[in-house]
Amino acid sequence: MNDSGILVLRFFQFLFVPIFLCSPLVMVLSLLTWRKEPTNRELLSAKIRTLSLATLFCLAVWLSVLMVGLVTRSSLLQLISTMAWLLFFPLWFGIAMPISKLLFTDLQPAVPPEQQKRTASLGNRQRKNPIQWWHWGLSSTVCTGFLIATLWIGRNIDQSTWTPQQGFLWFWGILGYPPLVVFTYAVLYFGVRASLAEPEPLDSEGNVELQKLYDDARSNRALSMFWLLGFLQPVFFGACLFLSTWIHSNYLIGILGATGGTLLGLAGSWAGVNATLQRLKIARFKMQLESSPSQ
Amino acid sequence: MITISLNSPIPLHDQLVQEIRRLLADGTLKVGDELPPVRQLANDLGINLNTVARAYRELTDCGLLATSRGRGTVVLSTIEKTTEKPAEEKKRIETTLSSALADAKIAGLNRKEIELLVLRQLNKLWGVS
Repeated sequence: MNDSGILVLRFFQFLFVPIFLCSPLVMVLSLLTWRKEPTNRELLSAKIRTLSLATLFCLAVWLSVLMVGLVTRSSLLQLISTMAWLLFFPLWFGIAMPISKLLFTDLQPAVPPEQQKRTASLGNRQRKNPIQWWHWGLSSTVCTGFLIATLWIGRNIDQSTWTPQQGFLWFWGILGYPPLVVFTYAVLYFGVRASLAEPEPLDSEGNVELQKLYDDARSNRALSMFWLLGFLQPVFFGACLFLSTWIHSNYLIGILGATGGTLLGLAGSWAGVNATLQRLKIARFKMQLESSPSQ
Repeated sequence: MITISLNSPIPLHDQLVQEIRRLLADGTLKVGDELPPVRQLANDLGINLNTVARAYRELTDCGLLATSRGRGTVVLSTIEKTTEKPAEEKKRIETTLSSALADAKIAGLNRKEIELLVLRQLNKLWGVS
């Protein structure tokens, strides 16, 4: 790898930890701009202050360990500094998640346990699976294409130039990829099935608009799951396997893997947030219908 | 639409049975209509699967519903299959009706009001004559 490549790699490595550590605060602040009139304003401000201070503290810890590692040329400390991204978890689950719950206190389960009177439609609304055969066909064709291409390149390349590690990775990659794809499809199949059975209680009049909102949300949820888990993820792994056989550059593969993984993660978060916002919209609409005088 | 109440003294599966029978009687549910799967209805109402399954089973035993693989639960008939003789059945219905009318009288309703109530229910089930 040339000097500029190493520089790019170092830059990515350097940015990875602070971006990860700042993401809970960024997420909370972006939710705050979306929710203009939060309840529990004082408690919310106190918690956001705590999150800001905790983020600063984590960044300071990371930077201190990195600087000491660089000054003393300690590879162990430098390694520890790259692992500082793990501090994301206490920041996210300990502080940011409770804040988001405070912001959306009206986001209740579809059927609140304390609700004594419950209504449902007795018409079978046919919760059809929006994932068609061609979706599966497209994904499995692209995955098979990457597998065949990887196998073909590996067989036709001069393997004497390979290190034992490269040969090992190619062989086990070829063997491990199909079960991984099948496993992903199985997880997706059951995930979509569970998602289609999510509660969709109607109002007492069986409002058509509410039914349409449910239909749209259900369909979006299932399709997002497919494109993320059933297409992008296995295709991404297939592409990585193919590239690692074709291009013998661990650095480049590392950067591509990290970038692709981050993008997949961001797409997953977007899909999750989008599904939550749709649920919120439905919950509000249902509440409006139930409180309207005609009901 | 069906509605159940968790704080009613009537057991949940009986409420479900009554609600489905009401929809069969007033023509909302017709022969051949598909009912939602047990799991889906239980999820929507936030109640146990077995409660819905029990209600469906009771209605299946009465010959009102039929459950088949692939098609789920469908309305088989809107007339109940009964083991009772017609005279006994009429007697049972008359007893239930007389008890409901006695309730209405004790609740303070006068004859005219009760007649209106009965007429409204008759119109719901058979249409306005």
